[in-house]
Order: sequence, then C-alpha cells, then structure tokens
Amino acid sequence: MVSRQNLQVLSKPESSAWHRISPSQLTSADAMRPLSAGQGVELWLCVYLFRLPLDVLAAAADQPAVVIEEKSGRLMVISASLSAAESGIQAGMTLAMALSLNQSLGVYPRDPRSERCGQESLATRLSKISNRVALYTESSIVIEIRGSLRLFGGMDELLRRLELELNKAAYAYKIGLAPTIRAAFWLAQSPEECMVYAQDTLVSALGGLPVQLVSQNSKQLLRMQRSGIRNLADLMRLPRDGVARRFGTPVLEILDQALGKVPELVNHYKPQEGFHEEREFYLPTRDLNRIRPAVTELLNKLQGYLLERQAAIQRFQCKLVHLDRSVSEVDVGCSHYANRAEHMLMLVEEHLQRLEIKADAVSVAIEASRIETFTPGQLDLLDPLTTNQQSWHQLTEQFEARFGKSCLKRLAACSDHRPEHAFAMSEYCTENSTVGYAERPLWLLGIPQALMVVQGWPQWHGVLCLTRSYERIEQGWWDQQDICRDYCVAHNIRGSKLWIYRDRRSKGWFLHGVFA
Amino acid sequence: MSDAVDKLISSTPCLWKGRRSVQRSSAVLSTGYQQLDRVFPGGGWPLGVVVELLPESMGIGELRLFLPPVGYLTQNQRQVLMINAPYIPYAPALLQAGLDLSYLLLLMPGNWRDALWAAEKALMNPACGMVVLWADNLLIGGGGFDDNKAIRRLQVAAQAGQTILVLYRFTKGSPQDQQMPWAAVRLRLLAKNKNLLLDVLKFRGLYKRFCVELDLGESITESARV
Repeated sequence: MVSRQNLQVLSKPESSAWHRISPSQLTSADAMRPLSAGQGVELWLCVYLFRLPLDVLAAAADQPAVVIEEKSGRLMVISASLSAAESGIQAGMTLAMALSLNQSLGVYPRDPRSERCGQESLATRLSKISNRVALYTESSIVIEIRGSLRLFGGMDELLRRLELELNKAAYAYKIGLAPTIRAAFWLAQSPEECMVYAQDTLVSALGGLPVQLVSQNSKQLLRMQRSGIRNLADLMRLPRDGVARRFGTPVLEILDQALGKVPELVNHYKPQEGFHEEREFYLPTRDLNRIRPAVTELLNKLQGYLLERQAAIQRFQCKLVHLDRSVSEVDVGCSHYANRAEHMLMLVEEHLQRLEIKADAVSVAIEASRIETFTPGQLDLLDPLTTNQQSWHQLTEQFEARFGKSCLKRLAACSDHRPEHAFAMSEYCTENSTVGYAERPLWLLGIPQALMVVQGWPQWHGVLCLTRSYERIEQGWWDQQDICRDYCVAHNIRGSKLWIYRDRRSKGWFLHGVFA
Repeated sequence: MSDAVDKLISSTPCLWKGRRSVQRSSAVLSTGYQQLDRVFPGGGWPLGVVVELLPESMGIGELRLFLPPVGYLTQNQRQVLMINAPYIPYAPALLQAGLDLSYLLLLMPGNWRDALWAAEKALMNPACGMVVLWADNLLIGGGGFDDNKAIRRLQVAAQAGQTILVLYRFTKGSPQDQQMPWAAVRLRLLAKNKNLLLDVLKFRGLYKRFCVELDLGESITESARV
C-alpha cells in the first residue's frame, strides 16, 4: 500500500533548509521570494490566542490570575496570567497546586460564551484581510492570505495590517504561517515564531515540533515516547504501514493533512449579519419627546452601518424595554428598501404614536436582522418621475404605518363573469385580466341590497324603471358560489342609474351597483 | 403709478385680475367634456384647488364627471388617491373608462381627522395628481372639527402640490346652509332627463352662478376613444 519511495522523500529533512523567520527579521525580499515559487498554492495564517480564557474576562494583566475548569472532578488551571506564570503557575496544574505556589491568586471560572464571542469578533475583524476566515479550534483562527497578498502589496503590509487588527482586540496571540491549515496551527503553537511559505520546506519545518501535536491520547503518546519518538521528524522517519499499525490511521491522516498531502476542510466563518443597538435613558420615561432623540441617534447609527455595507433593510424592530424587563415592540416594515435615517424615523414615529406605552421605559433598542444588499437604481438626471414615484412609495408606507395594512387597497380586474369575482382588492398591485362586459357600474355594493317590491315593481327611493336590455349571468357551479341572476339597468325618479338583478331562484330583486 | 400696479400684478399671482388674466395664468386640467371645457375659465378644472361637489342623489353620474381627468392622470403616471369611498370602486368599469389601475390607491381611514391628514400629505406629494375624498359618513362621526379650517388647509396643500382635491358631500338641505367658502370650486349636481346638470355655485375666476347640462354617456365614450 505505502511505497518506500514516498517515505524516502519524507525522511530527508536535512536536505532542505529550515525556513525560520521571525516577523522582525522579515524583509520584503525575503517575503516575496518563496511566494513567487508556488503560485496558486494556499497560504494559511493561524492566529493562536493562547490566553483567550483569561483575556476575555478583562482581568488586570499585571495581577496574578488563573482561569479554572473542572476536568474529571478536579479543578484545573486552564490559563494563567503573566505574573502568575512568573510564580511558576502553568496551564494544566490543579487549582490546589497553583494556590500553594501563590496565595494571592485571583481565580475565575471559565466563560466559554464570551470566549466564543471574542473569537468571533476577532474573526469578523480579520475578514477585512481575507474572505477565507475560519474558526479552527476554540482558541485559534485561520485565514488564507495568498489571495490577499496582491491586494495589500506584499507580505509586509499584510502583516502590519494584521497586527493592527489584532492589537485592537487586545488578546495575547501568536502567529503561524504555512501552506496548510494544520501546519500553520502547529507552528503558531510552537515557542518560536515560524513561517513557512513553500510546501517543500514544510517537512523540515515541522520536524522539530513535539509529537504531542499529533495525538491527544496519553496512552498512545506514552507508547511513542517509549519507542523514542519525541518529535514529528522521528515519526515521519518511520515506515507508514508501521505507524498505521502501531498508532492507528488517524495519526497518519493528521500528519498528511499537515504536510498537504490530504486536503483539510474547514467551515468558513461568516460574520453574523444584523444590527442591534440599545440606548438607555437617564430617567425612565414614556414621553415620546424624550424617546425620539434616542431613536434618532440609533437610526443614524443604523444608517451608518447600512451605508458602510451598501445595504438596506426592509424590516426592523424598535423595542422599548420597561423597568420590569417587559418589552413593547413595534415592527416596522418598508415596502421598498430603506437606508435613510430620516425615512426610517418617520415610519417609527407613526408606529410609536399609535403605541400605547403602558409603563415607563428604561431603554430603547433598534434591531434589524436581515440586511440586504442594495443597489440604488440609476436615476435619470432629467427625469423627475422616478424620484416622484419613490416619494409616493414612502408616503404609502407612512399610510400603512399609521392606518395598518388593511386600510390600504389597490384594485385589479379579474376574468370572471360573476360581478363579485370580477375584481380584486389587495394590498399589492396585481395583473388585470378581463373578459368582455356589457356596461358595468362604477360602484359595486359589497353585499347586494334587497329591494322592496311594490305591486311587482322593485323600489329604491321611488319606483324603479327598468331598461329592456337584460343580461343573464349564470355561473360558478364549480366552487359552491354559483349565481343565477338576470341583471338590468334601472332608473328611479330622482335620476339615479342603478344596476339591479333578479335572483332566478329566490325571485327577489337586489341592488348590486350604482352608475355613479 | 402704472409701473407700481404692473409690478404688483406681476409679483402677486394670487391677485384676482378678471376673467381674461385668469385664463392665461393658471394651469388647468381638461375636464374631458368639450361642453365644460368651453365654459370653464382656462378650459378645464383649475389645478391647485379644492373642488367641492354636492350631488343631490347617488347614481346620477357624479363620479363619471371626474373619470376622464382621473384616466388622463393615471395614464400619465400620476397617482390618484381615493379616500373613504362609499362603495367598492368597480375595477372592470374603471378599466372600461380608461384608467390605469396601478396608479389608483384606495384608503379607508377610521376617522375624519386621519382622512384629512392623509389627504393633505398626498396633495403635497409630487407624484400625486388628484385626491378624491368622500366626506359624509366621516363628518357625522368626527364632530368637533372645524371643517372650514380643514378645507382651507387642504386648499393650501393642493396649491403647494398643484394637485386637485375633489370633495364629495351628499347634502341634506340647501347647499347655501353649509358654507364652505374656502373651496375654490363648488358645484351642485342634479339629474335632468338622464343628463347631469351642473349648478356652478362658485368657480374661481367667475363671478356669476350658472348651470350647464351635460350628456355624460356620449362624452365619456368620446374621451375613451381619444
């Protein structure tokens, strides 16, 4: 299965030189030289946040402090601050041991949620550098930088920008650089900073790393140590079939991934979309005049957020949080994309004026979950019609916000012979389709009005005079709403022109329309 | 002196300058009926005014009177807003009359105050061409509101947006009892031998009350063909 030749290549670390450069030594020439060799090959940079559990707690760095977690019934130190480390405290100790080394130790429980938050916020920042960012382990982020080198004009500038972003986050970090993800992660963990640009130097670069990286299994590690395998070079020197038999195929697979023989898949990190901002009031209030400035400020922020992303929203929520943590919420929808604070404020205000604020509010929040890309239509400089129509859309939105959706209707004609099915009233514009009709009235009564009959003649504000032209409409047996009517036009004494019908089943007369 | 007068006349467009100058100065919208265009100053409905219509009864053609301008406006992509229509405006008939229904919007606000607010907003909107408002059932419920003041505000809004507000009021009793002096045009509508009789109580630019008898049916088909 495993060829000898392959192993020969693997076991020649001395032939290729180590490529070990610290960032301070890194010059532009050094950086560009190996890069030009393997164009198109990925280059991964790993940011290893080795003190993240402690850093996210915002504990004072100069104080001795540790973060602990319970592991198999014992409290273990996970992360120790610099001054704690000076007194000999290391990650992996039990808490009792750490306390015996330093009594004045600040002890904090681990907070995985804020760790995750910190990691994600850093990943979002790093998205500026590359579009391929992944959360690799719970304390490391990997980014692919080959694709961004040209954008930033070389490695120097890219590293400078990276450092800028990392310093903003104020987490302790170490960097590793390699053509594969796993190798970059390993190199970031190694004590010296190490950057490997080319695939062929990878074997020698990884050779010096401890074998503990390959496996977490302590029994397996013990067996490796007994066999004299201390670093990865020792492991790579062994025949592959032997390694697979003695330590299992996962070890080989991990090694292959690190060397780039087997691709490693990671889920790319996608920054969480959405806007959420909250503003607290100095004093609890239900006065709209005091809520409005806060909402204006929040909406201005939202506008900035949207403009930065060339985005717009169709729906957002304005929440008033009361003293007892209950929330009054208004849901604001826009028929067109909105990204201007002025417009959004107008809509929110319509809602707030209608909202009955039952208790004093302590804070107000604006939330928008769906951010959509917005390409403003090209406006014709000489054609004011488009801008006019846009202002009309905004007005209808305002109507909708004030009166509710059900108060706003548009009309359309449908192809049905039954008068009550020949039109549609809805919130949206719909297609018109008609069948040929005889004359139809302008007003239709929603429910036909029964007419009084005196001596055989129907009456409506006086006796009705019928025209001779009858129209028989008999349809709808298929949907249980069948009608069987004779329609005709009638006039009364006052000159009203009406559309009436005689139901052929009940023999009654009904008013159904007015020729207004 | 004549210089000063000329200056005054040219600088104040609202100054009443007699019938001829009105014809020249203000923009109008054709009524769609040749008979009316001939008698109305300027040759149509003036823009930027409140037109108050007082039909004697329903179904005499009070809405048909305004369909040609509505059709013209919607086909030219101007929005028309109908507020508080008493019945369902019947789409097939509106299509027959040549309206583009995508520019027609119906609004059913709950009270008179909301209706006035919506009308004012729409009248000032640059995309709007006309607002049609039925006042009756809202007026009954919305007491305590000064109608005259409201009409005056709407008049100002219409003038600002160069739009027309058509206000329908079904009167009980004689129209003289219900004074609405701020409407620039006031018409009483009556039926006469299946024709519509327009009793012009007031018309901006005219100082005499007069009547016009209009055959709606024929004119509408004519304008629809054009």
